[in-house]
Order: sequence, then C-alpha cells, then structure tokens
Amino acid sequence: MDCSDEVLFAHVQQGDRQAFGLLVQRYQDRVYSVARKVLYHPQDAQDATQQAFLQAWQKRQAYNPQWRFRPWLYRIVANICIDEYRRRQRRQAAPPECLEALPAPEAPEQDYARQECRSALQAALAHVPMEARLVLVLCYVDGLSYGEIARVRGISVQTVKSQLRRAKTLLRQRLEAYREVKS
Amino acid sequence: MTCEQAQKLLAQLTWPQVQASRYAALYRHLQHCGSCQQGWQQWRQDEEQLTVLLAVEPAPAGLWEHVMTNIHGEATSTAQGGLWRSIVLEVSPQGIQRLLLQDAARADAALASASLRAGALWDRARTQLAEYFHGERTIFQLPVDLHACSPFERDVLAATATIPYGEVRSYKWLAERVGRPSAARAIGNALHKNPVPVIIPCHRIVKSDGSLGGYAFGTAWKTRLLALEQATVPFVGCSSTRILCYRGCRHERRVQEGNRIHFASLRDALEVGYRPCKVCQPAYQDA
Repeated sequence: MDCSDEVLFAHVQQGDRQAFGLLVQRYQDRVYSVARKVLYHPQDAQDATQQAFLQAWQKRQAYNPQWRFRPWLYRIVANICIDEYRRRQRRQAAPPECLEALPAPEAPEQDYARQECRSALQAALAHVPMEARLVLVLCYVDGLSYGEIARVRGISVQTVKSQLRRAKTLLRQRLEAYREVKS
Repeated sequence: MTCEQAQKLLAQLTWPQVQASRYAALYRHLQHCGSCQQGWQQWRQDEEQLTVLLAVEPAPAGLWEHVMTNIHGEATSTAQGGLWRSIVLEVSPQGIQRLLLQDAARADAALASASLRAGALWDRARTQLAEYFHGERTIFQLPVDLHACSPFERDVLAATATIPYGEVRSYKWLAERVGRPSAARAIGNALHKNPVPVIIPCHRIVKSDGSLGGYAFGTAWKTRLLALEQATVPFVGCSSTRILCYRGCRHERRVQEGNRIHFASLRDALEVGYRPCKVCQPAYQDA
C-alpha cells in the first residue's frame, strides 16, 4: 500500500531513514528536473538536489505535521536554487553556452518545425527573469497549483499569477519574433 | 462568456490547470466562436511545446545513494539532535509564550488553537531552535510574550537576554545589573520561572564559585547547552565587506563560502579591522 508523503515524513521525524529513502526515490526526478530547468547546468542541478534532500533531513524537526509535504520540500529546493543562482551571478555573468545546455526533449514526431520551435522556446526560457522562471517551472514540472506555488515562494496567489503571465508573455514575444523571422 | 473574457482567460491559463471545471465556460464559448478558436489552437501549440520542454527528466544514476550516504554521515554526527526532539512551544500572536519539555504530540495541540500569525511564528521559532541545536545559530530573532511575568521577572529576563552566546555570568552580576545587588536569591527564583528557556539564555547564569547552579530543565540540560555553546564558533566575518555577524544573522547567511572568516571573540575581529553588523549588533558585555 502506498503511504502518503505526510505519513512517511512522520516516520522520518522519528529518525526513520528507510522512510526518507522512499521519499527521496519518489521525488528525486521531479526535484532534479526543477533544479535543472532553473539552473541549467546538470552538475549544479545534481548538487542542488542533494543539498535539498540533506536539508530536508536536517530540518525534519522543523516540519509541522499539519503542512503538506510537497510545498515544504519545494520551498527548500527553490531557496537552494535561488542561492546558487545568486552565487553564480556574483562569480561571473551567466555563461552564454548555458542557454544551449537545457536538455533536448525527446520528440516522438518527426516534425522539424516543431523541434525548431521548441529550441527557440528553450533559448527564450533563459531570458525569463529568475523569479518568474521558477514559478513557471514549478507549475509545469510537477503541476503545482497556484496556492501551492504561493506557499513555496512565500508570495500571494495574485503574484504567482502575474509572474506566470509575465513569463509566458516574454516567451510568447520571443516565439512570435522567431516565427516572423521564419516566415 | 464574451470573446474579450475568453482572450483574457487564455492569457492566464496554463496547461497543468486547464482540466479544472471552472474553465468549462471557456470550452463552451470556443465551440461557437470561430475567431477565438484560432487563438486557442495557437495557445495549445505553445503550451504543448512548453509542457514537453518542462517535462520531468530522470535524475542521474547514483543520486539516491549519494543522498542516503550523506544522511547517514550527518545522522551520526549530530549528538545534540536528541535535545531538540523533546521541546514544545506555545505561541501567541504577540510572541513565544512558553518553551516546554514534553512529548511531540502536544506541539500540534498548541498549534491547533493558534492564529495564522502565531503559526508563522511557530514555524520561525522551530526553525531557529533547530539551527541553534545544530550549531548553525548563535542568536534568536524571535518576539517573546512575557505578559505572565512580574515587572521584576521581566527586568531579570531582559538582562539575561543580553549575555552573549558562549559566555557565562554569575547570579551576582545579574543582581547588580537589575539594580538589586542583594537579591541574588530572588534572581534565582525569577530565572527558574523563565517561560522561554534556551531562547532567553538563563543557562548562561552560573554561581560565582564556578559551580553550575540550578536549571528549570535539570542540570544535565544546562551542561549540554553550555557544552554546545562552547563547541560552536559564535562569530562569522565577511572578508570582502569586513563586517562581523553572529552566526544565524540573515547577513551571515549571505556571506560566500570563500569569504567566510570564523572568529571566537568580538575582540579578535575588531583588532583586525572588522566592524559589527547593524542587524545582529555583536557588542561587548561587561563581565
């Protein structure tokens, strides 16, 4: 029988490492994908994922059993990603090659126009500001609701909506410019 | 639904939320409106691309093992973690009311009756306490609610709160500090009634002859708290800004790894040209 995240984490709070292992297994792909889409570099994303789980373990006693587990975990992930992004910004300007480093999604169809459009979208995503990008990634990668994203980022639902709109408007503008060039 | 409303909704809509029943009106409108259909098709195409681009991808092999190895190492190294488990907080919207040693189930009962602001405060307090017991925090930035204390007890607790991390003072020092030099015993009683031990550090008060004196949670706790504080370096300086913070200050958290300098005392830091942070304000206290 599948235990809910909250039930598993109640065991984790008692120091049950096996339960935590199950949670890591359950979330590692999603957490890694969020980090990867926000930070681009696979190594940075892997480090951020490891750090997020380690922090979740270390701060397990600070978790209130009345909370939902998923937004709590993503809050840790989002904060780590933002810290890493700021650290990187201070070290150097974002290297342009990182724009190409996003994973090339597998395209089942042989539609080159679609593939090209996707690459344009990929490059456009790199120009979306960090906060808006994080909201967009949380919404699409794991389908978090506006309310959950608001809790993850500590902002209002209205701000989530406006950040999402901002991100998508920027993406749409870039895509339209791309389509004009193509036509 | 009008075309204008449909366009507006479409601009807000995201694929993960599109299934929700509240968008039924939009679907109905699209069935009858040709001009909106075109926008809808374009929207679907863009959303599909975005969904594929932002799809979940598998984590690298070995990540799970790495995480579990790290956790195993960490779990065996935090000897003070045991202290933290038995702490329960009672919180009001004005601040932390009480800090008790009980079983964890009571903590939820305390929260159930709390307001939203109290809930946020409870969250902050638990995080800061967890950091304190893991040696990552040397100051508490929390409001405390001392309305149940007498004015004398409040004075005593306020003076106690000024004792820096890692240091100890005598009951006599505290008595002089609150302007009642002959009231050392009354001071002891006031400290025993401290509703928020650890946060207001009454464990930093010891007898003048060097012996421990009493403690509300027992002397074993007092010994362990003092040992934890002795083992933690309280100050962190930033070599680029030359600013010195208490560990746990929000500015300290932003110091980059390469710029972090650890100081055991404020004097050491000031001697080499560091200045105190304006937020956590590390300062001398006369011993």
